[in-house]
Formats: sequence, C-alpha cells, structure tokens
Amino acid sequence: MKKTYSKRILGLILLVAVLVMVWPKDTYAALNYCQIFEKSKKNNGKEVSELFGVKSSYDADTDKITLKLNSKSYQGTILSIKNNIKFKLSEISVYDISERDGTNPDDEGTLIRKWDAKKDAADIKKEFGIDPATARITVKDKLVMNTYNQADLNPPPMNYVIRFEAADNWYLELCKEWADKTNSTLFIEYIIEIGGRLQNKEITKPELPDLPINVVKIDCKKTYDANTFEAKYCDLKAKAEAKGAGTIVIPADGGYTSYEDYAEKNKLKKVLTFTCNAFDFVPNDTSSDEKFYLNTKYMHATLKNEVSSKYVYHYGCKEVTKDVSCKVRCDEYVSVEYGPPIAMTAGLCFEYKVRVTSRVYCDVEQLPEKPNTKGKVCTPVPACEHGRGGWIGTAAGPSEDFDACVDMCDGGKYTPSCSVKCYNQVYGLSGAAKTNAFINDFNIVATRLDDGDNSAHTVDRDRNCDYKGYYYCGKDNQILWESQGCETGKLGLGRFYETHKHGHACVKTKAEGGGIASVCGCTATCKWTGCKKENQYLNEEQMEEDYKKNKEIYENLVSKCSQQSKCSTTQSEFTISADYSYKEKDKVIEQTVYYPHTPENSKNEKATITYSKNNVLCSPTDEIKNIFYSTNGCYNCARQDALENEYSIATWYQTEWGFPGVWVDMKHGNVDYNFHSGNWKRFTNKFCLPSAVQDVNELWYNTYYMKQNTNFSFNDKENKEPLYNMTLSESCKREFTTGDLIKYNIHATTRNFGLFKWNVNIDCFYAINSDFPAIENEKSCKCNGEKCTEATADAYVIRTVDLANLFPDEGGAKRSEDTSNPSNTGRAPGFNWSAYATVDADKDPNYTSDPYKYRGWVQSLSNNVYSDEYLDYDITLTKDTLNKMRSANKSKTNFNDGEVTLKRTDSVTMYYSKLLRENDIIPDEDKNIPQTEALKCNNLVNWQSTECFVVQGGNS
Amino acid sequence: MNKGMLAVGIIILSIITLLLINVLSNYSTGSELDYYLLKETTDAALEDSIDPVYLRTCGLYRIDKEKFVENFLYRFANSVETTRSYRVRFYDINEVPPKVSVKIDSLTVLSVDSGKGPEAATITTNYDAIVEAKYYSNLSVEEQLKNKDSDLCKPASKLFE
Repeated sequence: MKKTYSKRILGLILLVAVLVMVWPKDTYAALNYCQIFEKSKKNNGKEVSELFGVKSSYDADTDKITLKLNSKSYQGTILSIKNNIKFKLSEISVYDISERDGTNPDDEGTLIRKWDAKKDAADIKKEFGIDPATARITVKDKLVMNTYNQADLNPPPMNYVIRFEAADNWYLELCKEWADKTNSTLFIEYIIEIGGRLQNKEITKPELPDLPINVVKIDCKKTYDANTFEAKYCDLKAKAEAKGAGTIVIPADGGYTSYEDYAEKNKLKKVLTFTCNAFDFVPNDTSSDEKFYLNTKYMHATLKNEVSSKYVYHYGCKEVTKDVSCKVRCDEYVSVEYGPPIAMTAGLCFEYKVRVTSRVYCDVEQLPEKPNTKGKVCTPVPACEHGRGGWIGTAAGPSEDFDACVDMCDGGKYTPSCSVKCYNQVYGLSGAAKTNAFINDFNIVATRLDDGDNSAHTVDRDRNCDYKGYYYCGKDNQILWESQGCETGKLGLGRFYETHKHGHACVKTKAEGGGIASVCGCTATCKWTGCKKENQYLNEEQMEEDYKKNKEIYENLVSKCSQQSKCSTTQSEFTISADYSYKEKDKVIEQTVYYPHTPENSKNEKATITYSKNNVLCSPTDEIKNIFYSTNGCYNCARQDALENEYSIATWYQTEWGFPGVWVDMKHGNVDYNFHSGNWKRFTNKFCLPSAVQDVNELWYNTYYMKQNTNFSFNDKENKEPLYNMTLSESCKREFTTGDLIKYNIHATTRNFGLFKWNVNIDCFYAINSDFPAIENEKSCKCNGEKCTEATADAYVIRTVDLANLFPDEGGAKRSEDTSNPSNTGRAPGFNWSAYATVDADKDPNYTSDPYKYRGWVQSLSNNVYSDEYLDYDITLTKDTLNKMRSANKSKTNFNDGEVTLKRTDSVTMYYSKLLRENDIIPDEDKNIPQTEALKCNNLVNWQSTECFVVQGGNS
Repeated sequence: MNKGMLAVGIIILSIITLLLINVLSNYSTGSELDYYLLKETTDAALEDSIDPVYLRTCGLYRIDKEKFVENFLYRFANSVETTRSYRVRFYDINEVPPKVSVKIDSLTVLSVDSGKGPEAATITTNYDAIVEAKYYSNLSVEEQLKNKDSDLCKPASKLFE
C-alpha cells in the first residue's frame, strides 16, 4: 500500500512538473465571458457549466463560482476549454476516499491534509517540488484526465485534489467589461480534481498567443485579483477616500524603482534627487490638477524583519527556555509627483507643487509559536533513605527509585559513585525486594518538610483526607510542600511518612481506633523527587503564571511585528525654495527665497508633519510658514486581502506642499515674502518674481514656445510671423537634461517621509526670456535663434494717438484701407493691444477685455467719442475749486498718494476717490461722476449708467 | 472832423486793435498752453494710475479710471493758473487696454464766468492717449491667457486672501 501511495505522489509530482515546464511566459488572449459569469450566478452556475462542460456552482455568500471537474463520477473527464486559461496553484489537499461508494457525486471523502499555496508554500515545495509562487499551467483546447475507475478492484484510498485559481492577468482581461459595469469584485476559483490514479496524463501543450499583456495602469473601476498589488492599492484607495483622504495618484506604469538600500530603514540616509523633464510640455487640454504633476517617480523598498524573544517555563524545579520569533515583511511604494518647467514673465507669479504619497503594505509573515498551554500539575514522589544508608524507596518502582536515589545522592548528576550506590540499593536483590515490598504497603502521596515545627503533616488520598496544599520549588531547587488544610488529627488510617525539619523521616501507621505508631525509627531522610519532564508543573499557580507571562511575551512579539507597519509617530520635514537673480548697479545678485520663510530668510527652517494614527500635526501653521497644501494619513487598514492574519496592515501617507504665497501691496504693487497687514493681501500659493529679475533658461523658453506655437500663437488675426524660428537637434535636446543648459531654480525637499524615512530632493526650473521682440524692430525681428532687441517686461509707452488710426506705420500712413475690418492697423500693435492679450469670460466673466475688437470700435468711432453718450466724468474746476485743490496738494508728497481708498470688486481692486466722492473740494454741482457700482467696469457706458460697455462681446 | 475827434478816434481804434490783438494772442497761446498742459498731465496721470497688482496677476497693463481722474485733477490744479475756470471731461476711459480721451474747456479773456464755469468763448482742447506695451509679443502671458485653468487674470477675489 505504501508503495502505491508513493507512486501516486511521484506521479502527481511528475504531472505538476510537466505543468510547470509547459507554463508559458506570456499571457493569453482575452476572454469575454464576464456576462456569462454574471448570468450564471443567478442560475447556480449553469451557463458556466455549459461553457466549460463541467459542473459548477455559485455560492452567494462568498460570491464565488466553483468549477468542479471529475466530481460527478469516477470516470475520466475531458475538460473543454475554448480559449487559453492560465491557472496558478491554490491548494493541494488529500482526501480519504476509501469510504466513498460513488452514489454521492459531491462526496469528496474525508480531508486528511491540506496545503495552502500561500501559507504552506515551503512545505509544498518540499513535498511536491512545486513553487506555488511561480507555478502556472496554461490550458488550451482540452485537458484530459483519466481518473480513478470504479471498476478497479483495488481502488486507491487517497485522492489528491489540486486546486488552482485563475491567474491575475486572465482575471483582469476576463472581467474587464463586467467589472466596468458593476464596479464590484468577481471572485472565481477553479477547482480541478485529479483522481487517485493519474493514468494517461495528457495536457495539450498550449500554443502561446502573441499578445503580451502588461498591466500598464491601475484603474480602480476595474476589479483585480485579490492578492495583486493593484487590488491592494485600490482597496486602500477606497478606504482612504472613504475617510475623506483625497486622491492618490495612480501609477501610470509598472515603473517602480526598487531601492534595496532603504530596506534597513534608510540607515545610509540616502537622498534621491529627481529633476523635472525639460521636455514635459504641458498639453493645452491638461487640467489644472494634472499639469502640476506631469512628472512622477515611483520608488519601492522592502523590509524584512524578525523579532525574537524567549518563553520561560518552570517545569518542576527546572527552568526551561524556548526561542520564539515572528517575521514581518513591509513593502513601501512611494510616488513623487511634481510639475513641469514653467515659462514665466518677469514680475509675474507662478505656482509649483510637489506631492509625495506612500503606501505601505505589511504582512506578518510568520506569527510566533503560541506558548504551551497544555501543562499539567505533577505530584512529586517522596524518596526516603534510611539513616543507616539503606534505601527505603519511593511509591513507584525500581527505575523511578533509581532516579530518585541518584537525585537524592548527587542532585541528579549521576556521578559514578552515586550511580553504583543507587544501583546496588535499588536493583540489588535485597534492596529491590525490600523496596517493592515496602512500597506496596503504603498509600503515601505527600508529606511535608515543615519549616515551622517538627509536627508531621501528611495526606493519604485513599483515606479520604481532604488534605490540601501545593508543592513548590524552594531553596537549592528542592521541591517543598505547602499545606493548606487537613489537620493532623483528622488524618485517616494507614501508613505515612513523617518528615522533620532536620531531614529525618519515619514511617508511621495509624490503625483503626488507635494512635499513630512508628514503623521504624525516625532516622530516614526524605526528599521530593520527580516532576522534571516537559509540561510538568509543581502547582497550578506556577503553571498559570508561566502561561500568563509567556502569553504576554507572545502578545508583545506580535505587537512588535505589527507595530512595524502601524502608524507610529513619524516626523517628516519639508522645504521649498526658489532662486532668482537681479542686477543692482551692474552687479548681478543671486538670491534664494527659502520656505518656510522667516524674516531672516533662514535656509535651516523646516516645515514638519507628524504622522500618527488618525492624526496629522503640521508645523508651523502660521501663514508665512505653512507650506502644506494638503496632508493625509496615516491610516491603518486591516487588510481584508491579507495573506496571513489580522495583523497585516496597510497604511498610507500623503503630503502636498508648495509655495505658501506672497504678500502684495494692493496700492503700489510691491511684493514681499513676509507677512503684512493693511492694504497688503496674500497672493495664495504663489511665488512672485521681481520685475527686475534676470533672464534665465532662455534657450529652453524659446524651445518651449517653438513647441507650442502651432497650438496657440501667431494666428491670422495679427499676421505675425513666428518669433523663434529655431529648432533644436536631438543632441541639443539631450544637452538640456545632461549638460549645463538648465539652471534648476526651484527646489523642494522632504526628509524622513513614510515608513522607510525617504529623503528626496526635487529640482525643477522656471524660464524667463524678456527679450521680447520690440516694436521698433518689428521688421527685422525674427530672431532665428539669436537674441532680439531687448525690451523689458514693464516697458510701455504712453502714446498720443489719432483715434481713427491708432497704430500707423513707420511713415505715419493710415491703417489699411480695408474698411471691412476696422481693427486693421498700420503696424502691429503692442502686445496689450493685440488679439493675443484677450481676457475672455473663462478667466473673469465680470472683467473681460478684447483689444482686437475694442481698437476696431475706437477707430470706427474716431472723434465722435467726444459725445455725451460716452462721457464718463465731467468736472468743472472753478477758481475757488482750483485754489482749494492746490491748497490740498501742498500736504501731499506726490500725486500718486491721493486720498484714495482701495475697494475690492468681484474682479479687480479699484480705487475709490475721496476727492471726487467724499470731501467737498469740488462742489456737487460741478461734477458729474459715475456711481460707485459702475467702477467695477473695464469701460463703463457713461457716467449716468451703471452698465459696463461691451463691444460685441469684448470689454466689460 | 477836428483834430481832437481824430485823436480820440485814433485812440479808440488803437485800443480796439490792442484788445483784438490781445484776444487773438490769448486764444492762440492759451490753446497751445492748454494742449501741452493737457498732454503732460494726462501722460503723467496715466503713468500714475497703472495698476501694478493687475500687472502682476495678469501680465497686462491696466489703468484705474478713478485714480486716473483724481490724479489728473490734482496735477492739473497744481499746474494751471487760478485766474480761469476749466471744464474737464473724460470720455470712454478704457482700463484694459488703457485708453483715455480728455477734453478741456477753458475761459478766454472774453469769457463770461457766471460762477458756474465758463459759458462762452471757451478754448477747447482734446487729447487721446493709450498705454501701449513696447513689445508685441509675450508668449508666456499669451499662453496663460488662453489656458482657462491658469490663474493668470483670474479675479482678484479668488487669488488673494
């Protein structure tokens, strides 16, 4: 029988080995059976049965469809497969089927042993030579299995059942459509039973389809196999979102870079530096949120840790220790997302954000062995030696007497002299006979070496004396007895030891109606012996105490392991800074503004986040220093998909930070990086460059706009030619990223982020090229890669104009005679009068500007504008008024410091003139001014109206 | 006609001639003075009324109409003689792109001032001005203006706390 059994195992190993060998490296064609599965769920698997030609059933509780092959009879089964299906090993079980009579097709027999592919991977590997982590079979067309034949006169007693479940990719493809519609998980497990006799094993070798399928994006609307990273990720995401935790960026591909040196919790303090891609140009249709995070780096590290301790047991008077440990594996996936380079204009402001997200999955891979709870209280044996050297014995037999004798002689060391002595005493003819005869007469179970007096205390269980007490381990590891009841006077009949403090003992008897009589002289020396085996305790209390302490050790171990992934108090640091340069007295001055910002502009200031369970503490929180846009985490989620146990934890951390903003003087336009009040307002989340900032990364700027030209610039309305008619060779482009062509001037850092305390630097840049093509050089300026005549960003001219011909050409000629287009000009207008400077309603519905249409309107109207219809202000300055105003002027330092008040509208901040509206310098009858609510208009209709003037959808 | 009467006639004629010359001179020089005064005052007021905050948040020049008018009036009052009255009118002030049209009526010596401003014989001067960028392209501003997700030119109430 054993040989048959072994052959069966060998056959099974061979089969699986063949399966493993034919396992394809690529995946297989997508199936489209999800609807069938869904339908089948309502019909107990009928459709699936038809599909596969096997029995199936649906369990609503587990949402599982099970296919069973060969479960209906013991006949061979042909599994019809219409397409390739890939399986991975799920479990192997052994059933005793010797009692099956074939009448109940669902009778699987009695489960004898089961190997779980995940938990018992090592055992499976050892016993079957299969590595469940990699074992796959791909079945195409048919799988033929001839199994146990009922007619066999010698049926095998065992039936091996190998369960496979659908491999990941197959599941992804199969359930895509179904999952998209239902947004829920479909779990399918395939069970293939292989009968006891694996005859004519034949598996059609699959022909691999040339359809490599890679998971390129995690879409949580899909469903994934429960144990894939994607599923874990989506599960965590859902939980996080349920907590209002916001969005986690989804990895775009499998591009995680592993950093093994972080496995030691970043002992090396390694700093990873990432730079933004110079050619990640933001597509025009990119949403505001997405454009900030075009660059993403993914990192991964694993930490395997083993936490050890010792259980301590006190068996008898012996202390026994046992090493125990638990193993934990933590995987941390970190994404670092940051924005692309920025094309800027001097004096303007920009926003730059960085987001780091960590997802941690920790599995307690091996729990510590639980402490032994099966101890039992052992009763020691009294061993006595006669005062004259004769052995009296124990209540047991020769071997126990021998051990007791040696124990008494040398403490159990079995020295030669004691061994010889005790052998003679116990096994010697006279000794043995004497001992046996002696012992058989007694019912002694206990006596006591009393520390208090010389009175004897004994117990005789056969005499119904309810004598209570316990043994314990005293000095020099001697077993002692502590009595708790059954006084001497109540002692039952029989013989017993009386043991005195001095170590002598005597055997006494108590007869019916009589007193206690000595059997021999009280010259014997007695000790308690025995109770040295495993799990033998002297008393309940010691047993309970050991269990309690060892249980604490166990719980501490488990706690330490699970704590490795739980949210502990972790403090992460964050900074962001920007560089710029400006000229002062022909000297270029380099400047860096550090955040969190201090008045001293200290570069050592750090913003910190302390993550702890369900709590995030940010510091500092004041306006000037708070660089955090959002913070989330750290949440512990018990993993439903955990491989092992409830101690498997998923956690995540997320921080988004950037520039906190600058303070802008709403009256004069000055900016400062420090806090101000009054007319200063905070320009949120922005970093503003000084107007005098030097150009930087000009070549990238030009390249960037060459790239973007076709999409947004140089339209027909203005008939301009491309300004930067240059192209870069590929080698030149490489220079952008490998050479010194790029000056990185935006820097963000984080330290101690996440579980493994990641240190990351992010460097990116803004570019400014203020070599705007100037109007004076209009005709010659096509640049072609060379610098244009310099014109600074704040360069403007106040021109006296002819309303009929706002922008005459160089000869002063009038604009084009094309009267059909009143917006025509003799020369190209300055930028702010061009169609490119249109501010449409998408920007600000209450304050639009369409220079192209407006200039057409102005030129059409020409001097007819001097009409009451367009009169905005009408002020008469009498001699008296003039005198008052001149008097008022004397107290002013300049005309730009008039008595004006800032008033905020929905769109712009406007001035509210006290001269015109509050004081009485100009009498009311001498002024016709618009109402206050009309001041919000870019161009008001006239002073009598509160409406804004609009040119065919232009200004408002 | 006796010599006396002739002398008186000559004197009267001389006075009339002198008066006429004075009036004509007053018209021409007043008009010229008013024009340059108007131009310089307007240009200076335009410069003073450019909104630096809008330039930072939008990359475009904007003038504030109320500030322009006030600044103009203060400057004008500081520059003109207080022997005349003036009527200052502002037409079609456009903030973005900046454009103003200003008209000033001032009394001549023959004007009658009823105390409510000049009512007759005024000198009228018009002046039209714009603020024009000296460059005709700013690609980064242009790009951001076309990108509705960009914060450029968004209402100040959304940008500032």
